Amino acid sequence: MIRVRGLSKSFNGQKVLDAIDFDVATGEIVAVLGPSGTGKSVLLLHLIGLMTPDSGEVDIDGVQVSRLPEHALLKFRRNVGYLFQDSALYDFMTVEENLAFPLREHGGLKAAEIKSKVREFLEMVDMADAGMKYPSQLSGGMRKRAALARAMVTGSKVLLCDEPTSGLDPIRSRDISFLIKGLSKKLGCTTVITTHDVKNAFRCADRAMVLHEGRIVIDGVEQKLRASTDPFVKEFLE
Amino acid sequence: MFIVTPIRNGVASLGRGACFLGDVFVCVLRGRVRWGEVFKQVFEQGVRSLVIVMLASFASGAVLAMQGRVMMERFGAKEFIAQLVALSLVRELSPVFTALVFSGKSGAGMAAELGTMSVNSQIMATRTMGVDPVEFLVVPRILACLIVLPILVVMSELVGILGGYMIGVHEANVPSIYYVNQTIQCLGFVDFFTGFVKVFFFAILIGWTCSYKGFFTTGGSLGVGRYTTEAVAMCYVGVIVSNTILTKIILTFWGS
Ligand SMILES: Nc1ncnc2c1ncn2[C@@H]1O[C@H](COP(=O)(O)OP(=O)(O)OP(=O)(O)O)[C@@H](O)[C@H]1O
Ligand SMILES: [Mg+2]
Repeated sequence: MIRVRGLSKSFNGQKVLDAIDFDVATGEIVAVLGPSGTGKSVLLLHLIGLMTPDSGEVDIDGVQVSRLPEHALLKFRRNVGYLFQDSALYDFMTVEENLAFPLREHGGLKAAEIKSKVREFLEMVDMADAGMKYPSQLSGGMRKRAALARAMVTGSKVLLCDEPTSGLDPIRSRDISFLIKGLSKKLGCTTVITTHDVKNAFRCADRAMVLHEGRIVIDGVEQKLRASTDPFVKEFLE
Repeated sequence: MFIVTPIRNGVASLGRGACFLGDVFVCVLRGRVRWGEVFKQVFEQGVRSLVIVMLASFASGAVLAMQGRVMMERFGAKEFIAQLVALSLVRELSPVFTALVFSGKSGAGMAAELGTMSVNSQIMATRTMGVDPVEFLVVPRILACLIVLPILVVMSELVGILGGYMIGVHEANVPSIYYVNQTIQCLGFVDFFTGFVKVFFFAILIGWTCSYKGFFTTGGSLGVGRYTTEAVAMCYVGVIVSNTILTKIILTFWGS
């Protein structure tokens, strides 16, 4: 369960988030839509405590993220998977090592268990034969899938995906959208996706919100958004 | 105000830099050191700088001997070439030269690596996986500097002396045994020590500057280039200026 209340953030006097409220129920997939530069990434970074809000609160499964000190945040983040817009795989590690890294850090698993888990997740994202490659040897779509596997491999119950389809062709975008939906439902994750790709957002999300000028202008299922008369929403969904 | 702003910015960034170094020390004091990573870095930094440091040392030892021969012959004291070469290298030149070359090679590499990781969100990603990036990425690099640089300096001193020997013996015709004996006799522990203490200071300075600049790089690949260049320039200035101050202090205590 993710609960956001009155979340505000400004940079140099420019208000990026303006008293945002929303909830995401456990096991639900929600898409945050909005054009480039509206603060979608900023919103996600607040959810995982990589940015501190000017005011407002973020509560994830009962943890007050915005109030935790850094060392507690490090612990808390182990329960959250985060897919970065630019994948952010370690480029000095192979794909397998990238996946094994969080598992090894969180401890409690034997080398053989880590190995089989890494295999399992690489197969899930259809990357089983690319495990020995370095991120620089992969295409953008493969990097995204590997990064998705890394975000989920620790079994986090919360998954945050920043622009999972940006920079991918329509087919890859569709594939990764269904992949996120499938994995997230299978593993029972509470998922937030940010994107400006409306079509793929509805492919995987149960519900969507549109972020505009720091506020959520509409929040609901696809039909509700499509039926909206708000000029910005209409134009954006076109 | 044209002068106040740069000063204020300078003080602010020095403050941030000090906090960063503080975090590093806290990590080390708490024993949160990943020795596996440290040794990986030792290997990487060592390999990066080794050849060029050896080349520079051999050449500077040789040049010292060439110039020394000319100078010493003026006073009819050719046999003192060995002392000139050994003392200059061990007391001053090897530590400073090696630190400069190391900044340009390993330091730049470190800043560029961390800078790339920063602009590609890899440092943030480290945090999202619940790992402290200072512990995982910075502490090993700075500790590796502390291990590699002293080793390089000792090697540089030996190779430099060898360079001087080649010229002294083969060009200035100082007898080989005599040259070696002179070198060994003239070098006291205090000569080695006064040069060597500086190295640890340089190592921290270089590791700190380069990892700090890299860690906080912004602005894409352009930013990586800019921050890396800045880091190396700061190391050069830092090494040269701090060397003057350190030398003054050291000579005050162990001067005679
Ligand atoms: N660390 C920061 N410092 C200053 N301003 C920032 C910072 N991060 C984001 N911003 C500003 O916040 C605004 C929103 O940025 P954000 O990256 O969240 O956009 P976005 O919706 O994710 O866009 P995109 O779809 O291109 O990823 C931008 O105007 C950006 O300039
Ligand atoms: Mg973004």
